[in-house]
Amino acid sequence: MTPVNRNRLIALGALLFAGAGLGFIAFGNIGDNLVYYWSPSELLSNGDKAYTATIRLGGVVQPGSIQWNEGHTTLDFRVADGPDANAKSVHVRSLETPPQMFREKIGVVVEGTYDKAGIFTSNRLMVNHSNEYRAPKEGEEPRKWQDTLAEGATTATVTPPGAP
Amino acid sequence: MNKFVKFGLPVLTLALLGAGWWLGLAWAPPDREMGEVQRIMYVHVPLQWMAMLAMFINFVAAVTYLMRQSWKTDAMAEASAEIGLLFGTLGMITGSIWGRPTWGVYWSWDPRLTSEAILLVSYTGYLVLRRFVEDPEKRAVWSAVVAIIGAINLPIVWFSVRWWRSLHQVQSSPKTVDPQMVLPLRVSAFGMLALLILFMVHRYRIALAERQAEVALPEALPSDDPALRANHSSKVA
Amino acid sequence: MTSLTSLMLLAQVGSGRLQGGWGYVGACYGISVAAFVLYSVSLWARRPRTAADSKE
Repeated sequence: MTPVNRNRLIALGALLFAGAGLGFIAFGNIGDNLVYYWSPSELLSNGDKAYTATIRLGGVVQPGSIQWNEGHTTLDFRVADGPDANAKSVHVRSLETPPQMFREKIGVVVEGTYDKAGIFTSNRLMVNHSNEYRAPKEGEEPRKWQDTLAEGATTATVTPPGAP
Repeated sequence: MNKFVKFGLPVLTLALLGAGWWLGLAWAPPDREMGEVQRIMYVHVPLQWMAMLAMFINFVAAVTYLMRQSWKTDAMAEASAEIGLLFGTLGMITGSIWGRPTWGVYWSWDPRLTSEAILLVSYTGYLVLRRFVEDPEKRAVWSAVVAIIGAINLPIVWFSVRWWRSLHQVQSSPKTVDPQMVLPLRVSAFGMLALLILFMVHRYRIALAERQAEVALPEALPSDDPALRANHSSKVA
Repeated sequence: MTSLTSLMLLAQVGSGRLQGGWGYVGACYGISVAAFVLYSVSLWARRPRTAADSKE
């Protein structure tokens, strides 16, 4: 075999191998074994399996569910399947300061453990951003907004938002 | 052409990248939720796009080399892998910095970030392999095989956010991004493309000169006739 | 430092909006530009010594 033909055969083999590998990953249901986070309904339906190890739970912060304790050290909220009020949800307790973008109806992924009392204790709270990028609406210029908040920050913390 | 590469291309690169980044940092509005931090987009996204493009060029060059042996495509493969790795690494660093204020973490093993890490490791391996194989022809063939197999990472990284649940959001489109943000992104992306081409041209010349020197070496010792040497290297190419 | 403490206060409010953060932006652009400059220097240092133009 000439080196040219040999190289072409090698190319064909490598391409076939790469194509097969890609096809396997794309269509081989590898996603079922490679789940980055569980949704609240999956967590609830998994029962005992959910109690054992550190897991990730992902969903939307249920509107009206955010609650701070007195000293602003513990944060309680519910992570729901979707933004509507009837969606299945899980009670999450977080001891750390959430990212600034944390709010009602935003996507979050929490890492932690789920206990039999039905509380998910999170030791890592991550906020999920959408693929939308928008300029601020009329009348909500962020810089001004920041100024007013910086001045009134102490008063703002006194009233915990979103207490149901 | 040579004059353009020497003077025109650097000027064009600086002008486009400067204009795009000026638009992005000073002209464009902040994002409604991310505020000023969103401006990282104008460096992170072009970097990742150009890393993908460079690695795709690497794949094409590898296939072309195996189909029809030439030191030019081998040099092209070497250049594109190195620059793709540079851009990809910077894309990952900027993305990680962007993740800290928005997600709350620098890093999480989500499918996009994990596949990107595998991608960078595989191109690092590719370049290490090239360093370790002495024989130019074996090096070219073996690394081409690695390049072709490594290229499956490209669609995996691209589609990872659609195939699997991830922390990273899916691709934006002009529909999901305000026009005042699309413009700086476009200009920055073309600037980054110009930079990619500029780096590629110079890195390609280095690689090609190295190849020709390597191939010419055995013959250069007994006979120092430049005509013979030139003849030989063109035969191989 | 005052900005940091006020940032943390704001973060606790759960405003849903990022305040400031120019440091992150500066780091991203700075690292990228520095890497580009370093890589350009490395390309220059590795440039073919024998006149490359004659071979092309």
